[in-house]
Amino acid sequence: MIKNELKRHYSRLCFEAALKSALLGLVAGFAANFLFAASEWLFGFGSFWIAICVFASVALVSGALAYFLHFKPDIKETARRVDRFGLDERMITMLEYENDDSYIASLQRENAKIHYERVKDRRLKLRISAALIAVAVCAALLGSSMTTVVALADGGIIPDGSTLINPDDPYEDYIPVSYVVEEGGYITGGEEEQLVAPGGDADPVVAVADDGWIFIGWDDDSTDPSRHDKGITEPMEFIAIFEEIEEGDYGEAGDSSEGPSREGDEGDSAEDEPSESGSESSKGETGEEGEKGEQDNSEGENDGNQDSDDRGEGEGNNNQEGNGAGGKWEETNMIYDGKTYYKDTLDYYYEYSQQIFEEYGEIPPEYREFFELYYDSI
Amino acid sequence: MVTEAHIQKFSEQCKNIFAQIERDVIGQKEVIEGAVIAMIAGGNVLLEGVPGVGKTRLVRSLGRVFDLPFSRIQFTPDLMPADVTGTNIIVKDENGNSSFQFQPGPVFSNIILADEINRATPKTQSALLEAMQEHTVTVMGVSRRLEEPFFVLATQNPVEQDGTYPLPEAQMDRFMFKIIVKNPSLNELMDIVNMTQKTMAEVADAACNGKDLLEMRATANQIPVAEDVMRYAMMLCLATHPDSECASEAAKKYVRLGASPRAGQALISAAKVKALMNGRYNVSYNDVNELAYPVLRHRMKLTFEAIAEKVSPDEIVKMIIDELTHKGKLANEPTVNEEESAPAAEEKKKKFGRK
Repeated sequence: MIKNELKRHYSRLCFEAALKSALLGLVAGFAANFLFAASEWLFGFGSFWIAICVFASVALVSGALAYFLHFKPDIKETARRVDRFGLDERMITMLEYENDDSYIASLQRENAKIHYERVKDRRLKLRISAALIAVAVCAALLGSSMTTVVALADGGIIPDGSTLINPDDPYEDYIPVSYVVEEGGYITGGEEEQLVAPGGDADPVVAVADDGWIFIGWDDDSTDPSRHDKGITEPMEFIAIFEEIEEGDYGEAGDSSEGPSREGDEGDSAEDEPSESGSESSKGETGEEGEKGEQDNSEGENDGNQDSDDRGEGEGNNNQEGNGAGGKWEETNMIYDGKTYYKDTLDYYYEYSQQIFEEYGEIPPEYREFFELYYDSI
Repeated sequence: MVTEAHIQKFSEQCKNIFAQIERDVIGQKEVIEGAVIAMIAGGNVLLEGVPGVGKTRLVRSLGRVFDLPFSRIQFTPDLMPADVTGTNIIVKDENGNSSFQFQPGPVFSNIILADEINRATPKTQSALLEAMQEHTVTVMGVSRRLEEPFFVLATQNPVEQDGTYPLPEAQMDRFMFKIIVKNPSLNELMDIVNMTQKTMAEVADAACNGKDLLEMRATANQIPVAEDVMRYAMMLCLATHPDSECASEAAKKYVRLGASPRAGQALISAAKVKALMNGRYNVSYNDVNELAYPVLRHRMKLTFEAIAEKVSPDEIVKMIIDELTHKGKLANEPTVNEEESAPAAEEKKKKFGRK
């Protein structure tokens, strides 16, 4: 009976409870949405639609739970709230003594109803905590922002969280390219260990010999100390091979007819004979140098100009004077790598040739060709 | 069984009582209201005020208005318990035989004015304990019931403390209210002087008698109290205890000993009377809050900190009420007057010309 009296205010309180529950549901929903979206972004699973579904389901469930388990008003709460319109606890007392048959209780009910009539048309103020609203707004901002981030990441506009948090991961599919020097030199230009995107190019590198060493070639038979590997599709390793130059030790290992032995060589095999390898390499090098001479010459001009710009010296002229074999005897006039002198090579071959000449009366043709080429150049 | 007639009679008699008292006592409305509420609720009252503010006159007027026998005991340091309770005296009958006969003291009356009660020794003060609580007097092993209604209206002077004996806690607890009688305002003082220039005689007439008073008490006792309000009142009492589960911060800081359960009984009994006097048939939070001051102020033993900081018991009660009502300590209790009251809203509408 009293419930009917308080029906209108009860509905108002129900509305207030629904609003509070909705806010709480939004807070819970956005919190779950934020957490899920953040996980999605960080660990790279699902899509933003799932985050939205999580938000909707959590908001709905928690809102409903909040309403039915906590906020749903009862008639007593309604009476309490109505009493605050200056009714001096008439309604709550009336409710409690609803079934009391005493005269004073009935008098109290009548008195309460009379006073209630005065406030019947007044609406209860909705009391929603500002803190709850603030929390809901914050949660909404966080949740929607995170969902947006996930959506952008899904669309490839921004990277995944895992990419940002774990920067090594992007190179997971990259191909390693190694340039190895066991001894006698080093790699300059690019890194020794490189990661190259599939089909991409490695950074150019140059194998440079240490003092007393000479660059022989790469293990893939390439003799150019500089290399620029392109279109990498599988892991690769290139070993730069250097050979030590030991003055006065030429031919010791062999029967004085063999060239300088490499470390560990015994000089008893034909392949190890310095004359053959030396002639082959000199042939190859001179041949290549001969072909490259002009290229190097032109490059020398360019380099020379650049160098002259950088250093203010006339090295470019020296290079211009060079005729494919290196130019004058100057420190800058080196073979291949700017490190190994022609002179060193020449001295080596010269001494070796003299030794052969004394023994056999003639210079091997490949050495002669080298000397001619060299002396032509100077 | 309370009937409509009882309610009507209660209302009329209340009006008459106040009207008659106001003929003798100018101003002091809160004091009069408190004293009347205590008398209807069956409690004793301790009136505290400086000399000359009308304490004794008020008590005398109450006696006249309620048409009840009135005894005045002037408490002095040499007053003995027997002077209060009465004693057995030897009397000779017609045959010359001697026997003890009880000579009732001034306590055998309906209204006792214990004037300057704190001037008597604790032994004499305690002679009133039994009378105040059980409404009986025991002399020489014989208990005698005092006639109902019985009230002790005591006065004490808060200023002159030399040669006084502060009332013990047990005695203080037996006073339902401690009412502070303040100095009259300028207008009230002018009215007092004008009135007493004409005559010093007390002119108040009887508005009711002892039987009516008991009926009024019975009627008031029937007033329903909602559980929420009852719980609030009890929490208010418990909040004065610094070591209770409901202890307020103010009590923890300023109160050494809180109110006894008698305070809870007094609070509810008085709140019922107050509600009915205001034409309401239920007790409200406001009733409880307003009566918390006279009920609790003398039941709290303050700490040294409170005394040093000159924090009065009333301030502590206010702090406790504020804490309970505004800081949400009572989770289920609404804040009193939090929302705009209906009369205030009506007034606002009129002011701004809205319908």
